[in-house]
Amino acid sequence: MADQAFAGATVVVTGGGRGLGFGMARRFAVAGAHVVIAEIDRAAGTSSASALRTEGLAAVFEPLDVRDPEQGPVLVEKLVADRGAIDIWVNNAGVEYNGPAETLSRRDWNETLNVMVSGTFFCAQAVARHMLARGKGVIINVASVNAFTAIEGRVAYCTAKAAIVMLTQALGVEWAKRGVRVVGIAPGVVRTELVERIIREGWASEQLYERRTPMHRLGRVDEIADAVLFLASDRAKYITAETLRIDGGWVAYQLF
Amino acid sequence: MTLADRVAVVTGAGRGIGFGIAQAFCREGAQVIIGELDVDRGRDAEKRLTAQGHRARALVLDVTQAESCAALTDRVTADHGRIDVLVNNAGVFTLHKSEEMPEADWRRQIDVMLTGVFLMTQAVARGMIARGQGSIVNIASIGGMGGWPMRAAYNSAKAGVIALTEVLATEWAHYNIRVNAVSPGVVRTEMMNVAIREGLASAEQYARRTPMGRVAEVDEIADAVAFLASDRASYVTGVNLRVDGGWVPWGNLHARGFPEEVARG
Repeated sequence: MADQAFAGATVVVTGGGRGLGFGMARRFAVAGAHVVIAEIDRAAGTSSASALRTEGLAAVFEPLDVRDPEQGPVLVEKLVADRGAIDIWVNNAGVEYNGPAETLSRRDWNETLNVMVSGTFFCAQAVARHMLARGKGVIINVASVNAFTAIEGRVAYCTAKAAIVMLTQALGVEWAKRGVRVVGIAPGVVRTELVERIIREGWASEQLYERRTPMHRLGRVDEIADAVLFLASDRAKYITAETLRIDGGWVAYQLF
Repeated sequence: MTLADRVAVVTGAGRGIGFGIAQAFCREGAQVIIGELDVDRGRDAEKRLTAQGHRARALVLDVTQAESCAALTDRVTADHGRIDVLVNNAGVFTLHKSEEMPEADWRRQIDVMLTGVFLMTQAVARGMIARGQGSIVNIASIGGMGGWPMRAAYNSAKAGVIALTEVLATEWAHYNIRVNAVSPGVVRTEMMNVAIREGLASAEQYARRTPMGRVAEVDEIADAVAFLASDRASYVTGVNLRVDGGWVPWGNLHARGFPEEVARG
């Protein structure tokens, strides 16, 4: 899979400007794909795409605010015109607001569900119209271990991620016969900007994460990307409506 | 070559999914040990793989006997230096109304598919723990995740394997041993034909019950097992990966029900 397994493929990663999204985008590009970094943050999107091009990889930035359901279809249309087809779409864009449930603002709740649940759905809908017409495509949704295990202070995030797991099942089941697979990943704690911020803000510490994880270490971005590339490949062609955990044993562990 | 020079033991690899896994592992560069209860079947599988230029070797194995598990482990370790990968695939399957299931049938299925998985894993893991490295993949089933009438023993064993996978994964993660499960949907194998022969299902019904509209081919299961066995899954442990074409999450509103005559009123 390492070599050029995705040569010629067009792969879109929402929120691909940084963190996990960028890690996946880079791995697809290394495997030969033409990668589209769909980002709300222009600065991050532009610099990430140009960083990949500097490595000799094929990458472009496209502005995308997944909160606006009008934007997905426009981007899909543009990319199909530019590239002929979209082979893989990764719904990775996410936000997180930490805080006690009893005081969580309506704005933060709505924003979280809007970005991660509605955003994932409307992007999937937009790209699926194209993929279904073509009879081919893979949609990958980024969930989280928080879809299966709740953490205090993260009610909106946990709820949204759990919704993504069912969304993956519902769309996967509905489109299974028409050549479009819908799969998910549930990463554990991975050293990204998001996790570094959580540690900095004092919501958790690295030692705490390490102790809690049976493997006693955080995950690496490339380990998540490896799983995504597997699920995106034909080696996973009978896998649909399923979410794969990449969590060092986090969810399986239920003791003190 | 994601399994280059790995020493891999696959139980029940003489046919069906096990043989497919052995073949996929060989293609990825592994030295494969076929653990088989049926000596002739094991030898035949070995011949088919070596004829393709692969490194495969059959050894007799009864997973229900701890001594047999230990003997195979010792033999492989002596001849090949270690065991990097273990796939617990061996299984047996019968169909019975639960009120009529013979005790021997219940015990045999639990013995092979739950106790056998534990005994074989225990035998192999001791060496893995000593070396601080290993990957174990258990073949569970979507049957272990829900109610399928007339499969009390099979599904209970498979549910047990899913729980066992989680326990061992969390217990041995600090030794750098990963333990995962794959839950195949209905796969085109001899086992699929058991229910068909008994008139309890048809190939077409299985296909229609699957959102993808078809049963799985052996290769499709083997590819998932090869992924989990390899370093590409280095942060994956304690999971049960469904390879089921969407079977489990489907609500199947128009199910015919069981038994059909009662479900229809």
